[in-house]
Amino acid sequence: MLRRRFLVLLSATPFCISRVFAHPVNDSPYENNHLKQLIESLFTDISSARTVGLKYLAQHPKSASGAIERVQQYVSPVVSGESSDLRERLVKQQKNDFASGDSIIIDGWVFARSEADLCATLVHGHTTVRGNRL
Amino acid sequence: MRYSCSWPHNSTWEPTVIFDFRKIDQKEIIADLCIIGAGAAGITLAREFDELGVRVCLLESGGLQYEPEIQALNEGVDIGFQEGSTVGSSGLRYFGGSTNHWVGHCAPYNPMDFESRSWVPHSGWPIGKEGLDPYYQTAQLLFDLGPNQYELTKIPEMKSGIPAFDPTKISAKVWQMSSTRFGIKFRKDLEQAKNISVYLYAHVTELVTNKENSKVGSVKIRTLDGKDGSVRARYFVLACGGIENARMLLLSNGASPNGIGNQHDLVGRFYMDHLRVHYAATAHVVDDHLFDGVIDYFSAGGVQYKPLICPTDRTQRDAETLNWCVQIAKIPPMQNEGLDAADEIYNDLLEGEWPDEFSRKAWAVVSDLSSVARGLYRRYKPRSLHFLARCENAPNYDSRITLTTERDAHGQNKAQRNWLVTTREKDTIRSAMRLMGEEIGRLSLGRVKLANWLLEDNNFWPDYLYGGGIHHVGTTRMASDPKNGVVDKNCRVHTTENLFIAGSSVFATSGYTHPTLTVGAVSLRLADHLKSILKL
Repeated sequence: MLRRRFLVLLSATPFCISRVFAHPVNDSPYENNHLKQLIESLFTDISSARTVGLKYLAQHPKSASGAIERVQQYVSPVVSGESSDLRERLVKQQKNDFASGDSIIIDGWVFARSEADLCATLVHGHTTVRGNRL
Repeated sequence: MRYSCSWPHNSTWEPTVIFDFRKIDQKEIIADLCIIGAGAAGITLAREFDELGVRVCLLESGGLQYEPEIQALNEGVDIGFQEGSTVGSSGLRYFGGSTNHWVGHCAPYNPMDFESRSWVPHSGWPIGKEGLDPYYQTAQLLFDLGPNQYELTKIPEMKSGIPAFDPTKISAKVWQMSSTRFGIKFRKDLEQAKNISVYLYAHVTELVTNKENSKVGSVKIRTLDGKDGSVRARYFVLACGGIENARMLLLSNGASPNGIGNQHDLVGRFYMDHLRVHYAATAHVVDDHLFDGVIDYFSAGGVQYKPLICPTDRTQRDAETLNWCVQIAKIPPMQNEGLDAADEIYNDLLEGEWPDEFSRKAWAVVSDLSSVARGLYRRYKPRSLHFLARCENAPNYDSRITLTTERDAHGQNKAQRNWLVTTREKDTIRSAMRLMGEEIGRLSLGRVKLANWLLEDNNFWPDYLYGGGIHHVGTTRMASDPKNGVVDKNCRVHTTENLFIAGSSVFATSGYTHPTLTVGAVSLRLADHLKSILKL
């Protein structure tokens, strides 16, 4: 049952998240690739981040459903050029999350929500939004 | 005899001695104040009447040393939550009581422990912390402790290495460790007290009341070799411990089948104890020395201090949890089979390996995303800290001491303990560990992983809980309204004008900390009340 739910979730969430993601972000391949590069540049091990993201989606589907929107809030200024350092913004968000008690427990690990959200976005790194690969 | 004492003749009152009740001719004792039980509560209380011109009789079921056949009178039946000790093993039946084997953790209860908390049903004492503060001050001396200071950062001798936890959420405190054995420390005082007589091997079998249960006239005494006796007094104090106080009231059913003080069926109910969970979470930290100040014991003024982490009032209120505390340790115990998982993690970490695939991936993510210590996270083989959680036990009407049909050597019904622990306590520990994870993450000191059993949303508790079940609290709880408690704010049994109760059984809540210092403070407060009644 759990496995079935998980598979259903996995098949459904890319669509849900991509719908959210597609709206505010420019559809051009350049913009999406830029965003992808920005986020992926944070990780030296993308597969680990995807694993964390997958677990997050499976264990906290409601919380994870708004992941893309939340990530966009601190990524957008970097994409638009208003801010240059994504890592700095992430660290600030991370501390704010921990300080405000906005944490997510994944397999027992206490993550800042922003960390978990970021990992969730990477789950869909191999999916496409309106034909464009993220 | 292993101890010296003088023996009474045929008088009804023979002060200044410790008697072996089995070996004296005297059967009837007359006193102004009869205290039943010579443990921390009873001895504290008795000493307060030294040279005050009233006759005090202190009755002890055992002798001056541990004797198995006497201790067996404590045996009972456990049918509820069973971790740590059995029902009769933590209370000791000989002079000095449980202080003969206690570890000695001392800390006062928090002000909030006394308050009525909307999210904790049946919480609230009829007295506040401020009502006990002067007595806590005096109790420090009884237990040979240092200054009445329990905030870690206010103790000048504290060690360095205290993480900068958010003070609105977390408070670093200490236990002061007492090595005082009341039976040893105060024996001479009591031997020399002119108005206090101690009777050893004087096992009380019943409190005899009038028909209305409104007044105790005497108590019946019996020794294991069959000698009977009695004590008549103006006032009586039960000071037999958290289980035996309730048992004694239930056994004293000569006037009422429910026993004494039990008109609302409350005697024995609201039994509480403390949970001690060794492995609640593991912190993987970049430098364990950054925690030295909240891990290591230290000494000051001849007193040993043990640091601990506690929630602030705001934290408890916001999260609507019970009270809790966390002890942090660097080295896990190796002898407990149930700790294999913790040991495995620890040993793997020592080897520089992660114990499971996901943990390795989680750490990789943390390494990538962490802040100032990013380099450290990446290069460092993280050290492991273990969190030992202690939790308040919620007052629970159905958690109780009753009598079984099994009998002890005196033919009396043994106690049955049905200790209940619910998801409330588990939720509290989970919330505590989460907060620790958030604070350690916020400070970029490392990351916390909760134990797997704690993630399960059920009432499963692991078998490596250890040491719980030794602090017996709440069975004759204090309340202003007789419908809510057995004794009033002055520890007097609501129904019975000359019967008082001393000890942790009168506590309305259990707090997170060990009860003995508060037992001392409550006993001193009761002594003051009795002095006012006796016009001393």
